[in-house]
Amino acid sequence: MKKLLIFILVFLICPLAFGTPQTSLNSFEIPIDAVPPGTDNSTNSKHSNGLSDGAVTAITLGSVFGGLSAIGGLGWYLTKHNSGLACGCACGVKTPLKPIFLKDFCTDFSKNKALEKAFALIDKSENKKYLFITDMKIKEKSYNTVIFEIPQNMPNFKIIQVAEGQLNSKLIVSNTEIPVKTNLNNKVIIKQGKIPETKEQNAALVIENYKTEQIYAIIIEFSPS
Amino acid sequence: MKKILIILLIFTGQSVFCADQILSTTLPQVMEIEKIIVENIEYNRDDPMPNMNIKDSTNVDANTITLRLSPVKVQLHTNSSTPISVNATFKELKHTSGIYNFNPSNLLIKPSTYTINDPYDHVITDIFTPYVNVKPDTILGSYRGSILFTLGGL
Repeated sequence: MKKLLIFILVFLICPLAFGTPQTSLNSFEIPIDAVPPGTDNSTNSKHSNGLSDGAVTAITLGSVFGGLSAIGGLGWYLTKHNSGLACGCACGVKTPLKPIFLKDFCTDFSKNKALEKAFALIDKSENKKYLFITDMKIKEKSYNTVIFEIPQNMPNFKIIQVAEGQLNSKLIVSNTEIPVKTNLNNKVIIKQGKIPETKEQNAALVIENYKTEQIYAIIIEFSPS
Repeated sequence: MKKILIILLIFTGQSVFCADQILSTTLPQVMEIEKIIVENIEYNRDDPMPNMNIKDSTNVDANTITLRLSPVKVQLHTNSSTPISVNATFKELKHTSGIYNFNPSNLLIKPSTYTINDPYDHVITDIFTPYVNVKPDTILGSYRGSILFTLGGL
């Protein structure tokens, strides 16, 4: 009986003690394919110090946008043109990779079978420079980015791309994709083009994978005009 | 005890009845969300907020970019003279194609609560700022999100 009495009292008091909350659920839509390059507050981003025997240092999204903002809107290009793809690895973002002469190249092909296949197809010359991207894994529906220095007086380039499946690679300078001629040679894709005169010192190679996870290697061969 | 209970029940019935009488003749207490304001654009309760967008981004660390979204204010319709609490919760943010959902731990609003100690009709809160932490595995594309505003008396 006492419990019933307490229950009635609580029933009477509650509406006076607490207001009835009201709610509003408001929805919105935002595109996250147009993320502005971030203000780089990171202190622990990994970065590479130029090309070191073809090694690629993997860094992640935070550093990608921060670093890309330094090379003139490339971040905007990437985010606008890679809708539906997650950002994967990137290298050279803090310090762009440097193409090297062939005499400086040394790598172990036992762990880089795709690179070995691409290496067999380059035109080996002392007057050319090369950018080596050793065997790398790219996740499904993602894109990798390689930022590199444009070698002086070597505007002609040839991209030799070896992959297990379908990959799309493109070279971007000053927020613009450089047009190329594409040839397929025994499952190896070779693209040739010319970098127009530019004040930009750096360019980006973007590798897009709309399919399943796969391994690839790329060599870019630069030559004088 | 039974007699007390019977008296109380009769009293309760009368008081409820009387309360109805009083409410019908005196000013009822009003406390409701009137508008949601996103950058000077007003929306009704539960309406979409089409002008919500990304204001800027900050690299928090190597794995995280924080996106700051448009600031939001809440306008109240009330005649309450006692403090009112307004709470905001970032409920969800999902890819429109359903291929990626943000973890709730990466969605936040600062501050999550405002207390209005001296309310008046059409009072507007300070700004609630929604933030989204973008991780390396985030799929680029269009996202649909929602924010829940809750109002309560203190």
